[in-house]
Amino acid sequence: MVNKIKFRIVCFYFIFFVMALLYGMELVKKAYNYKEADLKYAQKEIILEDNALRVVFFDGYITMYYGNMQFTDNNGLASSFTVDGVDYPTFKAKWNINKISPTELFATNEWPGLSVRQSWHFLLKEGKLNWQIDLESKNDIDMINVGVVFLFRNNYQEWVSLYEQGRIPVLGVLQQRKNIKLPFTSNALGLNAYGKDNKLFPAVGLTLGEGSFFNKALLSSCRGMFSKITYLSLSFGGKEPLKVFKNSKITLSSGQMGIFNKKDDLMRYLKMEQDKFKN
Amino acid sequence: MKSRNNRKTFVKLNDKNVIYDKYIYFLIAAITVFYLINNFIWLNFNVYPYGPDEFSHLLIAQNFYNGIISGRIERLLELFKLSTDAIYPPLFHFTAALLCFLLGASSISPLIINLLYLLILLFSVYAIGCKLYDRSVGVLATLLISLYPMVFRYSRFFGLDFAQMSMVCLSICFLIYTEYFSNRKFSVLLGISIGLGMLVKWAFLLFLSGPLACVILQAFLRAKKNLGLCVVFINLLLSLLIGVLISLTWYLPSYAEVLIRLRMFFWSIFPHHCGQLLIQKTPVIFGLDRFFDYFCLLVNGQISLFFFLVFILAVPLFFIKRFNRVFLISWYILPYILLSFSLQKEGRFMLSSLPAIALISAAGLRSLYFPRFNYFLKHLLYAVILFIGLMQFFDVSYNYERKEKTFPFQTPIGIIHMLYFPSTEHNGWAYGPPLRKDWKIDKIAASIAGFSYSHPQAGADILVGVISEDDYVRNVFSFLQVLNYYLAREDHVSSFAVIDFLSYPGKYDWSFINKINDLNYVVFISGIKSWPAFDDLKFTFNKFITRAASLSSLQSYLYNIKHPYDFKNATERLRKFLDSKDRNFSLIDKIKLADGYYAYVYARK
Repeated sequence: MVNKIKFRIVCFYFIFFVMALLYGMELVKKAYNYKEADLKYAQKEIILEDNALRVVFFDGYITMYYGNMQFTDNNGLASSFTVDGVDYPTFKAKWNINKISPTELFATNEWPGLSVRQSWHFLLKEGKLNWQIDLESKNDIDMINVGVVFLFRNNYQEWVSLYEQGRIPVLGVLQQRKNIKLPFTSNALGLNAYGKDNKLFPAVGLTLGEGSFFNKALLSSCRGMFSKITYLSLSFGGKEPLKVFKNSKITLSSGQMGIFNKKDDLMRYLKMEQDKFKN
Repeated sequence: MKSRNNRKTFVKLNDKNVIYDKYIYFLIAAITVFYLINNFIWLNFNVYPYGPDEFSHLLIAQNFYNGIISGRIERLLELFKLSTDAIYPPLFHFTAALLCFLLGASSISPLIINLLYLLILLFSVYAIGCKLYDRSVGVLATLLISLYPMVFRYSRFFGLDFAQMSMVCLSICFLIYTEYFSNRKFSVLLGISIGLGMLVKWAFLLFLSGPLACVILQAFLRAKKNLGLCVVFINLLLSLLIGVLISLTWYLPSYAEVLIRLRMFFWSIFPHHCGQLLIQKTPVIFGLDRFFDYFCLLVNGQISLFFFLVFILAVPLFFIKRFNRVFLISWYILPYILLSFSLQKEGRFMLSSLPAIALISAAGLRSLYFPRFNYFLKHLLYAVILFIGLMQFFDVSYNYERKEKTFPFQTPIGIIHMLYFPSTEHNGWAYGPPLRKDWKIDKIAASIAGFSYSHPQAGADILVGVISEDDYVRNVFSFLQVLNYYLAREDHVSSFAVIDFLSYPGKYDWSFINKINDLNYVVFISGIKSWPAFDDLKFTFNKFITRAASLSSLQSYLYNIKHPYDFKNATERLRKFLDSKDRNFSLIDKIKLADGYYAYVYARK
């Protein structure tokens, strides 16, 4: 009787062990094939250029230059959202980039196992970048933390709009983030850098498109993880929940970014955009 | 009366000597072979070892290896004395170098030393389980410890923590086999293991002190009864003396550097606390939240949620029915409390306490009793636990597709996000699936070493300056250490020093450009991205883990605020300088890196 029980127990151990081993072998096989299939680092960088403005796409990173001066930081322009507790930042997505002309580009990104697709359209015209980010889904889907963010280098010291302006917060030694809520009533905003060390940094003007899902901006000075370096994050959205219906399309963000040598040019641009908005 | 006696029993040992069992040899051999096969597959898939510390340890081991094959005793003694920079004691690196000498130097062969430490660990855990409880507890604890994610992950990592865990286990094993310091043979062995443990890592003593205190206390309580106080005292003294003498072989010649490191360690903690108090106005020194960090790390990284649930199931049974509660708990709790006060919190620091968790779980599970079919149902439960543990082993090791999923868990201090399965994200120290990107740093090293062989240059150290406009050098990954390690591997004779040229003094007024001629080689990287292994770096509990700056990084941070500096312009100017007609450097190689950018290797004419 005891031997019978012992035999059954040994059989249990053996069956469980073989099952786990088969699972492991399957995973090893997949991992071996992963080497060939899923790596994306061999992508080439794609460059849009107009006047002094240069936008570089590389492996989900969108970096912007004015002349040779990189004025964006880290991912540059990025978007992210969360579905079922999993974050989906664009720099982790699979990109399909189609360069239409030296100044125009259409890119889509997808995530494996998710029915959501983003379409990014970029057009450089008269030294200004026009962007539009659309989101569509094949199924009904609930998202949270939906946001689009521009990351700028920390050399910018002030933000300006037509009626107000203010200093960009400087982080304390051990602080991770400081926020400013911007009065985005005029739908146009500028960032300006001054001082001897920042001569080469352009003033940046941003206007939001009318059809954008997001119409409020948050400017933050934040510290990168493991990094002593701070950068500016201009985010649209961030904590908004969003329900995307089956086969529907939402414009997450659209707008224009102008690059200027002087603050006066930036103010003129903001005024012009404000007038357009009123009309 | 009975309960009062129990209260005084800190350590109760099993009289049966069941350690000599052929089946357990077979089990331990089977686990080791299983690890060997899996680690071989995993390490072959993994193109690069990574983690900043891993390369510095590999470099030290490589230097020992180079010392051994040079046949020069004085070079080897110098390495022993200071172990490169006196941070780490030399035993682990030296044993790895010896193994490389036998197996040949590759990036995988030093890691095989972990299998030797695995054998020590498994056998010690089994022996401790046997001596404290019975054979079943020993076997179960051995199986559990081998399936804990942090244990098998760290068996693929070239670092001190895995070896330290083994040595702590071995010492505790010898400690209980001294039979309350009445056995002279095991007292001597305990002394030797303490000495060797201290030669692996400083923190060794922290994990041993709790169990050692329990046994000493118990020994004196027993000796009072049996009038054997003198024997206990002599054996204890003998153990400690042997331990101290062995450890002094390294600590005495390096005492000045050791003291400097200790001072740096304390200085890195105090400014942090003061800074936190000033800026956030939170009582960080006495705040309760700091004591949750290692709990989170235990669940999410060290043993996984599943084994934590097994542990929770076992703990009440362990407390109700079993002896040796204080002994095993002190092994875990004492380091837990002390390390919770530290600025830097990482799961690997508590790795040496995981055998205590395995033993508590095993002892609790062993006490489980089913009213009917007890024997059958208990083994069925063990089989299910081991099955899930084994599935988890494969999943954590090889599954690229698994997404990290969390669920919120409410605690008195806030919500903690628990992971259903251990994260596959790279956290710089422990691994998920293997890394596949080939950064060709070994090719850069081969190019320099090849040129150096055909064009020998004068000087004690061959200086290699790295110039990179962004995060390759400055951010998290130690490009310099990686290159230095590969250079030491490529060229066993020359002594290379790899430096971040942009951190040279005088960069703000550009006077440092004259010092470029001090360099023998320049590696110029045209990169704009951060190190991709760390791109998707995430700490789930970053709110709980204090990651503020240490004193040194605080100083450099303040310096950077005071002296803003445009690295982009600096690298462009340096590149122009290198490519100019009257340059002293010639381009010897151009290597495409994994992200599509290029490393230009220049040699001084």
